[in-house]
Amino acid sequence: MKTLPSPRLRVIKETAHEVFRNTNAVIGLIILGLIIVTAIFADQIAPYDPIVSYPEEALQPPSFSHLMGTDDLGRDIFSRVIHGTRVSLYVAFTSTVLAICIGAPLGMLGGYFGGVIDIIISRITDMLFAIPDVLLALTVIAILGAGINQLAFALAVAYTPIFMRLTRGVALKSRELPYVEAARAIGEREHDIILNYILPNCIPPLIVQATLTFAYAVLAEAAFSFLALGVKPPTPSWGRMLSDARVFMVTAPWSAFFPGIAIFITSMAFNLIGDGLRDAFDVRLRT
Amino acid sequence: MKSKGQSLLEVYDLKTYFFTRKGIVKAVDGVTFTVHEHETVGLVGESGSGKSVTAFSIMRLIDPPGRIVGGKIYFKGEELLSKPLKEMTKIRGRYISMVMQDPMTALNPVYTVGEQMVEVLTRHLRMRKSEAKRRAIEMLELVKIPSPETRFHEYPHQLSGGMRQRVVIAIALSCNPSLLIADEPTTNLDVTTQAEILNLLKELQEKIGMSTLFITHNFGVIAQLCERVIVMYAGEALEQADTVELLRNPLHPYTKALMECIPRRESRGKRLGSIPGMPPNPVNPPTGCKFHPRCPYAIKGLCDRRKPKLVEVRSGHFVACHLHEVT
Amino acid sequence: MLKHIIKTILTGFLNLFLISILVFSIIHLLPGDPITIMFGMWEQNPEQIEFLRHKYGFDLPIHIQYFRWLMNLLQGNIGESIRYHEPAFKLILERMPATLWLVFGSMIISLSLSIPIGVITASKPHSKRDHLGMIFALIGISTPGFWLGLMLILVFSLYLKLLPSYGFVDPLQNPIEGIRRLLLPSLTLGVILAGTVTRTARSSMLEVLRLDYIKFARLKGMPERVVLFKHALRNALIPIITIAGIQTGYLLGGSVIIEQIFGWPGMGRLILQATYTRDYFLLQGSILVYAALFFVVNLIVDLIYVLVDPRIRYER
Repeated sequence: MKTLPSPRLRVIKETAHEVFRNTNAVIGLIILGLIIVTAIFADQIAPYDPIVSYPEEALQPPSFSHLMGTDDLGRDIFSRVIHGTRVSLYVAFTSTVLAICIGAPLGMLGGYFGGVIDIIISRITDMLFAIPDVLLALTVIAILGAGINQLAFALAVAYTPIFMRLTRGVALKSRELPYVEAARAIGEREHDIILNYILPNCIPPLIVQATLTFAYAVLAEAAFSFLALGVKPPTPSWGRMLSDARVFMVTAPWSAFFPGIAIFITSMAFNLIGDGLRDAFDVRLRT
Repeated sequence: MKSKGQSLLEVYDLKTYFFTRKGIVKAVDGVTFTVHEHETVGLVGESGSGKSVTAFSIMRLIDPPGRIVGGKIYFKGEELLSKPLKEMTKIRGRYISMVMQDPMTALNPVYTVGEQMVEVLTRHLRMRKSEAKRRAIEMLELVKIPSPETRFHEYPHQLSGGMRQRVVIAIALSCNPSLLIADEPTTNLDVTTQAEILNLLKELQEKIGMSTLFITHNFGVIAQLCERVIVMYAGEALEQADTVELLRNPLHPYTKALMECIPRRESRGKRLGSIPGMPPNPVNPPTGCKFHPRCPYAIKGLCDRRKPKLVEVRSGHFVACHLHEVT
Repeated sequence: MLKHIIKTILTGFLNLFLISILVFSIIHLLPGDPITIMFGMWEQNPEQIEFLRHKYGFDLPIHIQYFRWLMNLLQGNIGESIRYHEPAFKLILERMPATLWLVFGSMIISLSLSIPIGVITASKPHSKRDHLGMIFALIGISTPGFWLGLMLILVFSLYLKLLPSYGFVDPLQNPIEGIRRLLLPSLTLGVILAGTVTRTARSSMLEVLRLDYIKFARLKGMPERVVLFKHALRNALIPIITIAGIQTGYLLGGSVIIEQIFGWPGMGRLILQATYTRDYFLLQGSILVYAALFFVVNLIVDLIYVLVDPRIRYER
């Protein structure tokens, strides 16, 4: 006997349809796809080793053998840019996912249960929001020291309040909905209600926000690495590459140009996807 | 009521369509009528019959995805649809004014009543601020708002719905327009206030003598205020006559059915009484006469094939119905 | 309305109090011995270290330490910068004007760009100009600020030699030089910020333009220019101001890097130095001052709301 398709599945399919109709999102997804592929197959794609230095070939302009030129230690910039995707994606994903794991449940619980729990969680959220996120991350790094994982954690701390506030808002609205009240009236257990009703409502805005946070995180990682507070050399990081290139900017502008473009493209890809998702969810809500 | 003058507004075969993703909505599909000077004409029909769209088409304020696709509109001899859009700003609010349905949202919340009145006067009549202020307060008195000097400096949220509607009417009339279009101006008000506003409109019309195009879904109001009536259905004007004549002698089956279930002034959009069938699908209307699926007198082979033309059956009484075509 | 402002102030103070606990605990969250970490660079003598430990009260129980610290703080004393040997607050306050000028300049550039673009794109959605505006916004939010700063320096200072790339001059004392130096850093932060604010301006305008009173303004015969900039914009400002306020946080944070790039002697460079040299007293002071500044900004935003929307004036 054929079972009826789950309504949730249909909703997901419809949303996916909407997303793929959105040109921006599609472009973003394609670019992101390319970036992810580049990150995974960096070793195969990059023509040169990103770490070994060839001082004789320092600061060469772009040419056929070095598509993006070389940096001050003679390393091929193109290869370094390719390897840089790994660092960017790693920090972006790790920090955001961590922030969601900590922030989303707390916000949801605070919004749903209200009372003392909510007051405590709201206070913490407000306090975290009262410090600009860069400075919050800076503080954490000041305690933990520099390094790729420390940076990911620091950014996670900075992004947690965003998700706390987001899920809290959704939970607050959801718990007033008729079907939630009905569920409570029937006597459904609280944790079932949260899992089956509140959580699914949180997912669309969470996904949109997560994508946008990925975009910020890429920029943030670059900034902190630029300040030597992020990834430690010789691991290639776009931000770090920019700080190295700064001194030689006038004579070798390409060494400062290309890493920046890489950051820009990656961040833009996430933004495009986030915008497309937001529009897709919006359309569904309205029709 | 002042005697009828020459024709002021002539609408010929107006067509306004909305081009949506789900299809083309023919909101106004060939409407023809005339409003004379000093005349009050009622435009009556169900929700969705195209009354408001007709009004906004006259003002040429149809937003995408809508567009006026055909017809002509003559106002004081000038054809409005061929004018450059910028010229319309000189006509709106000055020669033709319009009052909308919901007074609670018609006024800008961040500016005072006075500011919103004065800007019309300074722009259209080039009055100086002090002159404009004086005139604005005069208008507030005209619409019977108590303590007009104080109200002048107040913000819309400090006024009740009835008062806001009076302010809107005052603004509409402040430049002495020849034509006032009132789009269901009392539907959103409570019953007592409705009566007050209707009385006010009647008085103003007698005092000032402007023509009024009164849009409503309520025959009671028509009977009270209007000399002529136009009945609209599915974007078309089916019947037009002097009010007295129409009430005594409704010719179109739709009009007859409406009379039999005079609706009470309750919720908007409520389906009128017991006319069988469904209102027509705006994207895919019935062929021929749009009313034929619900018409007890429909002639098979005729009413479902050919659209009836608007003909003058008696003096001043026009109908678009095959039953009355052969006279 | 007064109630609302008092509530905001009280909430702000509560936040600052909580932040002070957070800031205080920075030193105590350090892996290892705080004294060694902080002073280890300058002082290796164990007796001196013990002396410093006692001097700064690190041998006292933690709640007493906090209390002492808080008392000192309220008297305006957060300790001495370990590196500069001057009271931390003094250093921070000296650097504050430069940062404030940068934030101010960036906000001006940002609003001057985003409000007109937002209004113009909203007036004709899905048109060519709308797409251009949105592309501009997208570029703004995706561009790394410090890279933009470097590129601007490259073009305007190093190649074209038009504008200086280094240093700060007080515009109040020397307007021309001051603004010349302020231009590039403000442009950097401002353009990036404009990306976000433009989007908000556009969506806020779109919301407002749908409303009845806009229709009525047109029915009154008001030309489109007046409808957009007088009737619609003022109503659309509230979300725009809100975002601008929140994004000032971004400006405060972003100024840290931009100050580094442009050699701008502001709080940002100071806090970076503090981080590099583990000058924790200075770091603590800086965080507190930034948080306090942000709080003041939010307060100003609340006051602006009152000016813009009369409903708030009478309601709350």
